Amino acid sequence: MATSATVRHGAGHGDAGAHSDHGHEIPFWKKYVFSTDHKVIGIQYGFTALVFLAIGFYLMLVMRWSIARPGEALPEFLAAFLGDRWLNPDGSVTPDLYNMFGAMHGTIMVFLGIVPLAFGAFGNYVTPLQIGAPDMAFPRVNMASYWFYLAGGVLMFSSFFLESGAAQVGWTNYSPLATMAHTEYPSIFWTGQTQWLLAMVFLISSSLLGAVNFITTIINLRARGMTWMRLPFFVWAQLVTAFLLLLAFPPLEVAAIMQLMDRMAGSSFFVPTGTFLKTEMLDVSGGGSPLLYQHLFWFLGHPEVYVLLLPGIGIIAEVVANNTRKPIWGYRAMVYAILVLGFLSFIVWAHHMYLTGMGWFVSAFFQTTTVLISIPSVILLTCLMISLWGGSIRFTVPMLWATAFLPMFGFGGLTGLPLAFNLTDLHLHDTYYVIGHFHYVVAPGSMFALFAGIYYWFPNWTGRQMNAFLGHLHFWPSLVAMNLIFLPMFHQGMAGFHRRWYDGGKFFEGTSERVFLEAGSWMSNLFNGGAAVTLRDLNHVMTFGAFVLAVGQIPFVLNLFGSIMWGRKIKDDNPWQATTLEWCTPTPPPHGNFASEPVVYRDPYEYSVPGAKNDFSPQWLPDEEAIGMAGAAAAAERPSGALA
Amino acid sequence: MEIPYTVTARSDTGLWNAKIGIWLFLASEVMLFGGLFSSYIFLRLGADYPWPNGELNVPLGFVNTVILILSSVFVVMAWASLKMRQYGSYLKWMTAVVLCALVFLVNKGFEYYAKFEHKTVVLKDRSVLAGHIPRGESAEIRFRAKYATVDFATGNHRFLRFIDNDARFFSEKGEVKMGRAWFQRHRKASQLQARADYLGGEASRLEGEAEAAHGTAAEDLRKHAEALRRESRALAAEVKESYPDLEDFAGSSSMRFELRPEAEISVPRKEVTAWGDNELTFRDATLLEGLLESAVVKLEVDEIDLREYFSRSEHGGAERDAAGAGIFRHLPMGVREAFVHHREAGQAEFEAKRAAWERKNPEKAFPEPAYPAYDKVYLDALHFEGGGSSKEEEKHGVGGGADAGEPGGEHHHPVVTIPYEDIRFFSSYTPKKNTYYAIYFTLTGLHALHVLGGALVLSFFLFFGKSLYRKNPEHLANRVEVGGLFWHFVDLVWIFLFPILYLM
Repeated sequence: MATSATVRHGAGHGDAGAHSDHGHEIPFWKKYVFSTDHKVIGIQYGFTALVFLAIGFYLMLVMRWSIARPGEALPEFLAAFLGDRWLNPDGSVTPDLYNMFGAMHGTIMVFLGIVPLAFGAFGNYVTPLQIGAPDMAFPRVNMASYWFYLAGGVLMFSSFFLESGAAQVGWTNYSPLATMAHTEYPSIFWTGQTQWLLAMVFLISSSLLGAVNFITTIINLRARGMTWMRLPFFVWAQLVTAFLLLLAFPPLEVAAIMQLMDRMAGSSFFVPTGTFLKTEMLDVSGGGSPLLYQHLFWFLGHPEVYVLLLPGIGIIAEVVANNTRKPIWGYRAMVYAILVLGFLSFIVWAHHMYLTGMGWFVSAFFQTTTVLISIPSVILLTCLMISLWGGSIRFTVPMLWATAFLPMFGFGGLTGLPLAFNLTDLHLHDTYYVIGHFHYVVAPGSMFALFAGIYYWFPNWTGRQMNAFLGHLHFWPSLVAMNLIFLPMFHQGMAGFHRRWYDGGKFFEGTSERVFLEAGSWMSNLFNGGAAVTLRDLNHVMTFGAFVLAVGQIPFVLNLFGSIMWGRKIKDDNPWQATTLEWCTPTPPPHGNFASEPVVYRDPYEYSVPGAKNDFSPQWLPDEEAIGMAGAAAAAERPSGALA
Repeated sequence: MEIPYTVTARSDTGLWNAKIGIWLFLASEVMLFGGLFSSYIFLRLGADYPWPNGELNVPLGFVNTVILILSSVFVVMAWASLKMRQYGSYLKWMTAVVLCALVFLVNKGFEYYAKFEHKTVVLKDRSVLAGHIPRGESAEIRFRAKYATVDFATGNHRFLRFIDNDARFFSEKGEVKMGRAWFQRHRKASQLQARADYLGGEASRLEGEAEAAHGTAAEDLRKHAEALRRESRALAAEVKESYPDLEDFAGSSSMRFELRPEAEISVPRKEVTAWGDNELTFRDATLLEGLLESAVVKLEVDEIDLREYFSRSEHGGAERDAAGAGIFRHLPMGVREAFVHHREAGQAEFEAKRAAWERKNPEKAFPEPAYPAYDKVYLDALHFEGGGSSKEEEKHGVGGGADAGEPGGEHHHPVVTIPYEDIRFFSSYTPKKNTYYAIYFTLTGLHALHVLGGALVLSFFLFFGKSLYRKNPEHLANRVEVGGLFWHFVDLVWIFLFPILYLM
């Protein structure tokens, strides 16, 4: 058994673990709270991000209730968290509350949920292990990065409790609306709109420190033999993500600082001449440009989309290779594709701004680059799809999420094409179609990948497996519910449903009451007792889906916490029989990770090497040990990375 | 396992960790300042007003440029001293660097202070005056308030910041402790009252339905209505009990209070949305009634700028007569004539230049400046008769009569009084003035923060470097190298800032 070799190896590390023997000297708060260990910081990031994801999810439930049942009282279990302040006397959601939750749902999910989970948690935990490094290059900077994130998150969240409430003008915070919002309050500084900007400055600083740390670590701390083309694809994805954060976030910081100046110092960066608020002419000089804000925002905003996505694709590559028991098809193509993708993502931002009237030439340029960027995206997805071909697939829980990710992400990508084109985007801009499109990329896309990652790396963290039955109970309702929520959005969006209707279209009957399923058609017979189904009725389907999704996460929470305590213990440090370096450490890995510097002998995904004694040949084993003497000779003749 | 390459370089990359780190950090800094420089270009190209030119203190800016360049040299010397293991010389050079940073920041402080003190007034016809507020004067609106009407729908208690703490608010029922807590209680009471009203309405509706229904259905409806009615009464009772003072007006959208004693209010223009002889409306929608005492800006004028006055098409464009500009109503006798004279001379000179240019380039069209320079003048450069009180000034009830008698060259800076109703916009030379000053303060402020941050880090190496030097001198040299790279970057940013803000 090859596993015996792994065990021997792993045990050897455990005995000689230089750090584990003086582990008891480190006090609890230093080991788990103000820790400089990349794994602990990763876990801190992970749990904080999960809390924020839950908060963002709650905001979404309240909004979906208001959309499906405008004017009806919120159910007790949702209203319990809200004071009377933001509800109508009849207990229904006020437009202000809807706007606030809409803005904060986007902000929290993107900046406090997915990015910290994908980049902060998985990146921190896995990247140093996969490249054979003892820790990040700058452990204390890493800790600072987490605490900046937490400070920004707490600041952002506590703005809900201010007199003004939290920010209300959408997650994009467009000026001049964002400049003028909340300026009537006693202290402009202590309003949600200003605190949003301050919190963003903290979050941006956090990402910046993280990005510097990741890139330095990947460049300089790779183990001996870990050449660039031997990096697991996950590490490539993290590297490109780090570059995106490093270079795309500063312009948003600029925008935040300038908007802060506009609000606090009375400047007019984003306020054009002659701006009125209600009937009052603003006491500002004018001369500024709202378009400038949009440019600065989307210069971050678009790379940010890939920050949400790329770590997910990295996780999927690991899971797919491990569970198909064959190398990733087209590893090099994927590496080049992700680099090109990273570069192109910097020059597509203005496709969010076709409706601003910035001119046909600019629009044509960004339309072209946007269509170009679909090429590397399709290469990534195609390689992962083809990787499935001919594999002896193990449908483990992580693999379920990964296989669902591929079509779901594909759906999100393909529905983006009509948005890339100027002409069709004019029709679809700011409708539910856009919401459907990017949620397919991020919710059943990125989130599914992150779930795959949690199930996949959980044994490395705890030494226990997560429960497979609960995993299935988590996966199937989530898959169905996600599609129930987001698929109808395309229909509504193409009919012209605007994304910011707090009443789900009740006041826009001309659009929203159009018939979706004819009365008496077989579909309406099946679902609605033969009565016609209008487009607005789809809101009920989507809201139902949202509540199913909420219930579907309960098994996950039980599984996550239950498995830490009672999960099945793994017998082997490499339970998935994987090839990458994170599985050669003792479980869980001690501070410092490796007893001695590991040496890398081969490409990352050497599964099912012909002639080898096992169907996986780990990176850290020399040919004699991994393949056997006969196999080693064969391997010497075989071109690197190819499946003979 | 320890983290490798903290001091020595990795052989294949040739770099130690912190060196990669600082270059990456500088890359993001380039994007940060790049974003601001791009914004500068965007704002300058899109400016719909004459972009300020030569309004900053160029000699001081030049001195600061030299100081920063010198400090960049010094930091290299400090690093080289460490490399040669000469700690004493390192200390000297590093002290010089930190001192340079301090001098730079002090100079910057003087520059900022001068700008904060300088004011500008744009009149309704877009003619512009600049100057200083005379000592002891203020540009705030003064009002004596007798009644305050608070608007609960959109309003809040921001206005209380500008009302004396001694002022007491009386409603019909007696004194009200006006403040944040009172507003919160009122909101709570209103919510309860609204909920009670809603439930009562629902109960009535159900009772109506029960009338029409029969049998058990009617009974159920009645029971339900009864329950709602009970809840509604309970809420109403709660309002009565917990908020006895608010019982009558919980739910009303506005309230009028009497102020005893009458409050003397002094409030900046930006806090006020409208005012009249007997009314003043705050930004939080609170309406004060009483007597407007003063709504004027007093200014020691040092500059007249009519460039926008002439260019704005709504005022007839460039054909408009200089004499028609509103500012001359406020300025002493003689300034108008002097200005018109100055302008005609400037125009003649400009026309001569244009003719010469057109003779030289017969095919091309002359590049017309959007804002001819002769429409703006510093009063120091203008020769006019002293600002004694003239008939015209007395007629308008404005002017610098009182200050005109001062000796020396004071007559070049006459003090004028401009009522707010003539003013379109009033500001210091702060970010509020226009997008140029906004980007100027943002860019130089952010740069100054970088100087401060860099100086703090380098001071740390200066004062606390000894123990690391004893342990591993190369490590300290590496740290100074990293700090020095950052210092060079800060210097480089200034080298871009100086021309685009001071010279161009």
